[in-house]
Amino acid sequence: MKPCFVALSSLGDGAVTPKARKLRLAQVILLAIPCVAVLIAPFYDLSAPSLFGVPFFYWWQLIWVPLSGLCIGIAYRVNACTS
Amino acid sequence: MHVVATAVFVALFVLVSILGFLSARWRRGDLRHLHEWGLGGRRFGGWITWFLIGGDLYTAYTFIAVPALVFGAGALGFFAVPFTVLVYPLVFSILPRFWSVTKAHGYVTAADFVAGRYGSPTLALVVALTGIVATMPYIALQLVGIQVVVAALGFTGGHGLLGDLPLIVAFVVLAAFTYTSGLRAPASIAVVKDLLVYITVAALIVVVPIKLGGFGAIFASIPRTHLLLPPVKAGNLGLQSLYPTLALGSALALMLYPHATTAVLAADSPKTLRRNLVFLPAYSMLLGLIALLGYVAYAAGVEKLPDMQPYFRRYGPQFAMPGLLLHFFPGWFVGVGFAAVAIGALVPAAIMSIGAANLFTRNIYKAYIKPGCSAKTETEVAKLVSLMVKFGALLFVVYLPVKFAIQLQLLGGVLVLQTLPAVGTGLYTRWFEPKALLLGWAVGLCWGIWAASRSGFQQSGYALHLAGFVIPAYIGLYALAWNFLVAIAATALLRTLGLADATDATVTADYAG
Repeated sequence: MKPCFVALSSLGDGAVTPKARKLRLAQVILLAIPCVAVLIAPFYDLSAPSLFGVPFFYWWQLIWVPLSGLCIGIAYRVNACTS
Repeated sequence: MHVVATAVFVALFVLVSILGFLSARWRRGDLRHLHEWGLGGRRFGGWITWFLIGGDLYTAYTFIAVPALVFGAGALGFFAVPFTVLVYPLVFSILPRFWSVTKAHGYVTAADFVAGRYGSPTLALVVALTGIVATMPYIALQLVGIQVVVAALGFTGGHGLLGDLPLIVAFVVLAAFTYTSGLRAPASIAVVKDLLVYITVAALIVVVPIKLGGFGAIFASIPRTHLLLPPVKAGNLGLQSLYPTLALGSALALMLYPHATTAVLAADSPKTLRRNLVFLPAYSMLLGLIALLGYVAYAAGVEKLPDMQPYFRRYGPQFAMPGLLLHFFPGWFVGVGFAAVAIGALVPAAIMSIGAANLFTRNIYKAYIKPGCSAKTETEVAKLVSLMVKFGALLFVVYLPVKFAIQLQLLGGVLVLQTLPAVGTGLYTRWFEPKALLLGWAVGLCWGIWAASRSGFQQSGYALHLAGFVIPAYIGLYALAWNFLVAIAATALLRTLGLADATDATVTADYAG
């Protein structure tokens, strides 16, 4: 999971305001959420609850595809605020 | 031979070839410069970047290999989905920094950056060599994708060179338009490729399940042992640990491949890049559906159909996706689907050969063979090398068993991952010493090759025995752990001995963007 927490692209630019630091942390958390969700294999390795006959294992991972897009989208907005 | 399918296939192939040659004129630049030929002048906006990165990462081999793996191995094959979920947050966090520093210094490759950041041509050389070696079998696998669909069209006749004639024709076309148009060719062809792929996958994922009674019925017909990863047994984590490490390791490795660098650097700004990553998961959805096709093929029993049996005997599970198309669709649509696979092979093969050529030219030719050569010579060398790389891949496919290409590609991922400490951490800190990074790279590389050789280069997992537990994980990640340990220890040692080397051509401001 660690690489997902690797600091963002603007890290290390010298002095930063507390607000910018908070926005950066928000981006890290947003980007880490989908990563963690698909890495915890033992927690989603289940057949129930199934959705339209598709076992949990499959729909849980598939649903994180659009959700990761959403997380990245919000992170993009946050990033646009900082720069 | 399937006449209608072949006619449609050939027509589409000719269409994209013409497109490939015409794209030299598109957003015209001076193609005698390497950043024009090899990076499209760094002028690709949002749309084209989306198609280029997507066309680059989801290769023909993906369409064949992912359903094949799910078809043959079940749940484990689905690791392609968490892999693509992981890729974009990682790229979003890391690569805009890479874009900025390469733009500030006119770098064209990851090894260029390493050379500047660490002032070490040797470290840059090993990064470049690793990239080239890892890319070669990857290109070969693209050609395997073409080979499978050409055979499925009915060209199973001759052996030797004659049997490979369609492949050679495809290769010559690919080589010629890459040579003349550079990165502009795959960028424009990627648009057509994606259109064909989306149509094909949409049809497959809607039509076939309806005929088979829906996804509920399909999943119900899969053996339970295939559907889930086996639980932890007697302290052995088994696939529970292998599955996520394969996904993470592959995602990290992907960013380090030269073709990923090339596609990312061709964007016109870090903003374009970031905005793209919001929408790139659309491709991952497609990949998820393609993976499910493995189960669709299993439920449909394509393997047991009399007319499919000879193909399965020859190509094994790799024929799952082509088999579905052949069995359930009319000839003209088979042509469209197979063209999607073949054109899907051309785009990444072109970008990969350009990426490898950029590496050779910048970090081997210009650094060691002919320093101070002109921009024109540089580009000419790159064009020539892109031809040689592809020719090597062709020889590979024609003369060696496919098995070797697959095994080498597996190993390639492990190797390319070992450049992460130099390239990846270099974007954030100059703490590491170049000599220490070299040592870490060598240790990671040797350990990785040793671990892979234990299974005869068949498996990507290594079972670590630790405190009474058995923890199987992706070899590349274990090798990376060794790599980091050695690099950190050696850097600490060099620093305490006062042998630190502070050479750095970049400044903090270069990374902002």
